Amino acid sequence: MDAVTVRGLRRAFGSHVVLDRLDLTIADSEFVALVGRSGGGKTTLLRTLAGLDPVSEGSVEVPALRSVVFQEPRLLPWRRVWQNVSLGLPRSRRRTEASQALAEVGLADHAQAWPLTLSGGEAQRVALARALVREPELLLLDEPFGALDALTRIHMHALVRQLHERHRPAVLLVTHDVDEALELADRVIVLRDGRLDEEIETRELFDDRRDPRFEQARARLLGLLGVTDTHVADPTAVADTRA
Amino acid sequence: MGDPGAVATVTQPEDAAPGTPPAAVPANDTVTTADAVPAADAVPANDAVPANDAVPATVPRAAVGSPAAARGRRVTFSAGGADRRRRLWVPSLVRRAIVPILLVGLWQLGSSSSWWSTEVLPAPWDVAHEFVTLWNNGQLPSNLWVSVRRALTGAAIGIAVGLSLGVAVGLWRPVEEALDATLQMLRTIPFLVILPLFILWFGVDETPKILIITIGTALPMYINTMSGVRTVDPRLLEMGRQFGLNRLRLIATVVLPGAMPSILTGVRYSLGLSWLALVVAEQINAQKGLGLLIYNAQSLFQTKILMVVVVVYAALGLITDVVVRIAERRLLAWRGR
Repeated sequence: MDAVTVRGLRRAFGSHVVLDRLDLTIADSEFVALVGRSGGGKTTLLRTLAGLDPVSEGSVEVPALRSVVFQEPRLLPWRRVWQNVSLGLPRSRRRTEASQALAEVGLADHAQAWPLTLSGGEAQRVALARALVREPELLLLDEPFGALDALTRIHMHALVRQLHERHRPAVLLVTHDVDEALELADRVIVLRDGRLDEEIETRELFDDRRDPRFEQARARLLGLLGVTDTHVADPTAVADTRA
Repeated sequence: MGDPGAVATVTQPEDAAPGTPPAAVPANDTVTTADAVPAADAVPANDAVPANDAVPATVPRAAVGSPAAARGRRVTFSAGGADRRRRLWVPSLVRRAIVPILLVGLWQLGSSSSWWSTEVLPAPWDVAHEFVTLWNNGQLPSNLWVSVRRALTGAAIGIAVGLSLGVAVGLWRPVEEALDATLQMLRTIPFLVILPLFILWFGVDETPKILIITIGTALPMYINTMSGVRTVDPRLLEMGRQFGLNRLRLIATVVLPGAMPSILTGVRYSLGLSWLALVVAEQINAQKGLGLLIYNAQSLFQTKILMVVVVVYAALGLITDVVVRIAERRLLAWRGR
């Protein structure tokens, strides 16, 4: 079964075509990363899958149970942390499920805190707990680590991978960070000129970063995003030295 | 170390001897800590001031002026600065009460030394005495109760109406288009001038009195609620919808709390205006109430009673303010102190 099926999705703002007859399938429990330049329609695609943006052309099929982690935590500052996590849950399940989810992201003792007292990384973990507490079949991550510092981001990557292994939702991660995409996803797709331009299977790659194919994949992705003048620009050279 | 008091915590490169012009201080990267001020020089400086004062978190005067003067100087910040110790601690309530108490004292002084006739402005002591008399003979409590009930009834209706209108107009464009212009127009009418009309339409009993208070309180409530609702972060609304909140829950959990700071400002204005509207409403054919008390006292030139009522109004205003402040502290606790 596929969690997501998109056929011929087109979206234009005025004369600017953002998504051009785009096709995409995401299998159940598959972790897909979507990279692309900023303004390239990544977030539009994610918002369409979330049901936040309308579909005017083409068809989109997604599970009813889905949740989003936005770029910003988007916590309600006037609700305590656990109340934010349990937002929209049936009353009887709120307390227990919220504290379970908070324990999973390592914030069990912040349940009673006000969101404004949290650090950026903690707030984003609460947002993650809020997304996972309803056991979604599709988890949509819209550059959720973009605003975090490098150390916090490393922690978040490990946490997301661990949570994905435990809950097995299908995931679409939108990012402009090629390394993040390669590290987390089973498959990386590149959105260019409104279409899915390239797909890279990374399932076996991230286990061994010294695998020359990892550097090749990284260089190819960076090349597709227009970064060609770095030391990784020549994938064959890297491959040669490692071989 | 020319000025031991002021620069006790500042260590400078020894080149910056007393009297050396600031511009002559060399670039500090050439001065190592080994060249630090000799102990013999530092000791008298420290003896000149109490030990505790050696750690104020203040920037010495010389360092404030030009960057050149500050170059190479070092400033120490540490706990328990002089600032905290030197100021006598006074409870907030006392600090707030000082000015009112002084004013009353002045008032009493002026009355006792006959700066003005007590016929015009009776002394605070006499006003207090009159207050007790009126309270004991039952005139004040019964009239006060009637007035408070009127004001609160009118304000409650007005606040409810203003709140609902503000939320509806703030959230939904068609409602805004239908109502906002009209309400803004009504707002520019000084609402008290409608009172004579109300009396013609509704007679002289309770209805026009409560209605005028309702209108007076509904409008500020409407304006503040609407602007508060407009400032609610649309990203939070989107998040709420995404997590399955229906329209009512969205209003209860996102819109109203988000608009709460403005709403409370509206409540404060409204309650304040409700007392004002009350005074005017009660000038006309009141059988009971503070307004009647004023009316009678005025016609009999009883300035003491007039002053008692003025003081009562002031107290009512103060009480409402305190109540709203307490509500604010509870409802806005999430903002932190």
